[in-house]
Amino acid sequence: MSTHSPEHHDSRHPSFKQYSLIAIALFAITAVEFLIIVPERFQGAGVVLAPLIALSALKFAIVIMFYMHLKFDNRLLGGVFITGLVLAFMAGSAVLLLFGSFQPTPRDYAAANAVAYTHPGEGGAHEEVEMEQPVPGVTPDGGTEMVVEEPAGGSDLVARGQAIFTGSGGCLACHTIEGIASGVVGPDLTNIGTDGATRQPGVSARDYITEAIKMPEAFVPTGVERAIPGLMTSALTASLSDADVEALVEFLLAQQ
Amino acid sequence: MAYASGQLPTTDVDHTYTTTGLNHRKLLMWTFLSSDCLFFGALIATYMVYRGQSLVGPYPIDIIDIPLTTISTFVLLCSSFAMVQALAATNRNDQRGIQLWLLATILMGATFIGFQIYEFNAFRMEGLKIDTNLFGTTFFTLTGFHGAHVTLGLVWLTILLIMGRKGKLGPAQSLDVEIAGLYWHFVDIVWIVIFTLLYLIGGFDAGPTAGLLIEPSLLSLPT
Repeated sequence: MSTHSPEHHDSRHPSFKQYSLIAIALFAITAVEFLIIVPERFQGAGVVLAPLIALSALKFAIVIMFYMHLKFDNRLLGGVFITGLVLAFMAGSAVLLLFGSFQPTPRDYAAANAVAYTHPGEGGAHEEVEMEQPVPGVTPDGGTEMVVEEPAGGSDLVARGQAIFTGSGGCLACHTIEGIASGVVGPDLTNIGTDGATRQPGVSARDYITEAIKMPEAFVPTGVERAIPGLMTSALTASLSDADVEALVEFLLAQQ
Repeated sequence: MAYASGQLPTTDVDHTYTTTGLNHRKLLMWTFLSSDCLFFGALIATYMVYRGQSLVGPYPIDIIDIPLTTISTFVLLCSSFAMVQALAATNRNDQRGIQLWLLATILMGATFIGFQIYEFNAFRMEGLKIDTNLFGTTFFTLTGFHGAHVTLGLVWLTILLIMGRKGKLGPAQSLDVEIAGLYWHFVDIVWIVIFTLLYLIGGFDAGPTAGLLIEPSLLSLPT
């Protein structure tokens, strides 16, 4: 380009032709990235992970070196930027490690070992200890041993239902039952034992709850907060056996 | 004049004494971009942590449109090329070139935002909102903040274009254009990362992924 500019390093900037070549290179890399994932066997496959990340890193490097002239500019500017970039990369990796994203844990195992979330601030400021207590009826290895600790619930079936609700069933992820679970995606089930009878005219609470678990799509009540059609589907509950559903129904009927 | 650049010592950037020998505004922009790496890094890491952990659909594979987004990615890359040409035109005092290339950058950036608005709306129609599932929350937060960055860049470039139309951009304002360009290119490289991770790699994610850690208690938010 011109040498009339007061910017002393301007002459070292790429020319129009060079910039055009850089742009074409960036387009070509993007096109290659797209073509890589066109064959169905590569879609979401692990083998394309490395090439895709390498190609995007290459584009990233080309843009900062040439378009942002780090290649020609003072090294302090590059140092400042790379410091933030490396910090971001390390912090991100640390978060992924912390959440076990690199060490696969079977879903069921994790779900069975989940502990009910107790709402902070309801019973006192320090509830960490309480939160770490295992859910009654769920052993750390994922089994659903009968541990009856619920004086109000009474029967084994209710305790088993609670274990499924807070454990392998994963219900607590979306539903609230005061003192047991505090999901905010689906309807509040704190009083479902009594509310259940009023949801559908002529249908008992037991039948209503059973259907709501087995075929959530079949009937969605109106006027119930967070009862959204299509949000809960039978696919979510397909893994529950009839005995599991029976236990869950008993547990939910006890919520009055 | 709304823009006070004329009063700033931009005409003698190379003679202004600083301890680093570098212009403070340029160093400031690089420092900001460095911190913005951490900002987007946090959002990207959050997306990756919750990948494949949504318990309800729609999932990425149901709604992500890779061909469409590849086109908008091309457009954004093109706008970066136009931006470097705008800076080159400023340095050689090519008034017509300044206005033309700045306008081209703005139009392509606006096209990118247009694609994003279309995409967000299409997702909404398909049933994915920011509070639908973890995918919706992390996707809209990350790409929404990127879109906000692009929008801010468009405002900035529009101000420069207005200055250019008044004939107030030339070699003396080279740094003004260069710093805006640095911001614009940064927005471009962030998209390079997002496009790869969320679309090319994550775009085929289906429902809850077996083998990924799932902790239901983490999904319950305090009300």
